[in-house]
Amino acid sequence: MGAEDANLLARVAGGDLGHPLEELYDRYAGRLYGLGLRLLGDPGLAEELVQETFVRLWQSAGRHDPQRGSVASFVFTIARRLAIDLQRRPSSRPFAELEADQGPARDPGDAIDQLLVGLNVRDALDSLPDGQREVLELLYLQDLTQRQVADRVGVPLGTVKTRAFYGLRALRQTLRARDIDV
Amino acid sequence: MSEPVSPHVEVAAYVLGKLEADEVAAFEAHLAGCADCQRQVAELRGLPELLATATPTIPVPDPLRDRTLVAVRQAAARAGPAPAAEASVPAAEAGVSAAEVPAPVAAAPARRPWWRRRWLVVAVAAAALVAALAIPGALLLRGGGGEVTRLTLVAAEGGRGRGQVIVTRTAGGRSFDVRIQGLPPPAPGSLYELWAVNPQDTLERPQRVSLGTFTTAADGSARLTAFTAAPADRFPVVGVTLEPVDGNPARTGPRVLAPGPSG
Repeated sequence: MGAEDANLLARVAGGDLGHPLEELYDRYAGRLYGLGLRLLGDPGLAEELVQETFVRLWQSAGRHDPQRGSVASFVFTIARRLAIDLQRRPSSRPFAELEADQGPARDPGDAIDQLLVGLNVRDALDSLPDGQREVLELLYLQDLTQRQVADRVGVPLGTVKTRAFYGLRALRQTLRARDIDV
Repeated sequence: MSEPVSPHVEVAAYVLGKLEADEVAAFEAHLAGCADCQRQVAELRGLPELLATATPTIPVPDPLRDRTLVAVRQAAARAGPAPAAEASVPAAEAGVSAAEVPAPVAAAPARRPWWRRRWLVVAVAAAALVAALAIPGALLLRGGGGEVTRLTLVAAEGGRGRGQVIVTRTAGGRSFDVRIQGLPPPAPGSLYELWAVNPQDTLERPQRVSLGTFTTAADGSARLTAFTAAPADRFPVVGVTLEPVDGNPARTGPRVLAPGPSG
């Protein structure tokens, strides 16, 4: 998926604003929108974050070096800067209230970094083979037992266990490749 | 009916806290003598905490896709040839250095006349965009017809609220699809008025046309569609004022929402 993303971005950099751009949008918009909503507390600003991230992604697409970082990191780096800018805009009241709740000295960058870890985890989960991702989500995020997951997915219990095992290992590998301590 | 499973793969269920008490005892007995499993447990132990932070996938509003694609293509049309040609600089942070990501748009200076804030940007955007986006409106030309521009509205000094405006060129002029948020309902006896404004507009020498009046819901939101045949080159930006219900069609009240950055 990473190499595929890099290929799409390279085509965007080359001026193809058709399918490659649409594909990148479909892959990243959900997570960017989720980031915007959690961070900015406002659907309008979240939409602005998504839109402006893609404009800047296009502007800097030619500078992405796949040897130095994934497209996901590249996208979220752009989004992070934009989110800080949007937070500082005087009209971004929801965030101002959020900040007040959490204490006045809080650096908006810290909150964003925490959310970016969440985005990277989501991204890493989504990069797993479907079977592994599904098992991990049901087991942990929906808190089902292994037996319940086996019934839900319609596979033997042993398959649930092996998928969870290889899924977790792959997840760790993916996150470490993104410099997230695991 | 469980088939035989290597005890090693129980590591996952163990660190995820998914083993029953008797299974935990059995696995820990195995763990005590299995260096491989000990290493796996140590490596995977931190994952559950991280998993809990995974951002939920949230459905994105459908129109945003078209707007975003349009905005990128619009920026590309403005810029001319692809930016790849100018950039082969090695990058540092996440594959890109700080200097290379375009700087965020600076906030508008507080004391400039409201209509002047970003009208140039908005006007350039209006001239450059060639794309079609489906929005409500009987006059809308679909397909290769309407040029679409996305404008934003921001709170005027000391005020509240914001909005997004999708402007579509139609056969008869322009259609404005307006979404307002965070703007408290007007006091009794007053209403909000949406305007298409010329950048030279002043209170003394008004150059604006009304796009209609509206109120907001208790949650500060409003959604409206407006039309005008007033020429876009003369009235390129939009704004909102608070007006008394006095039968006077001219602007007399304070500005409430001013042009923000173009989409």
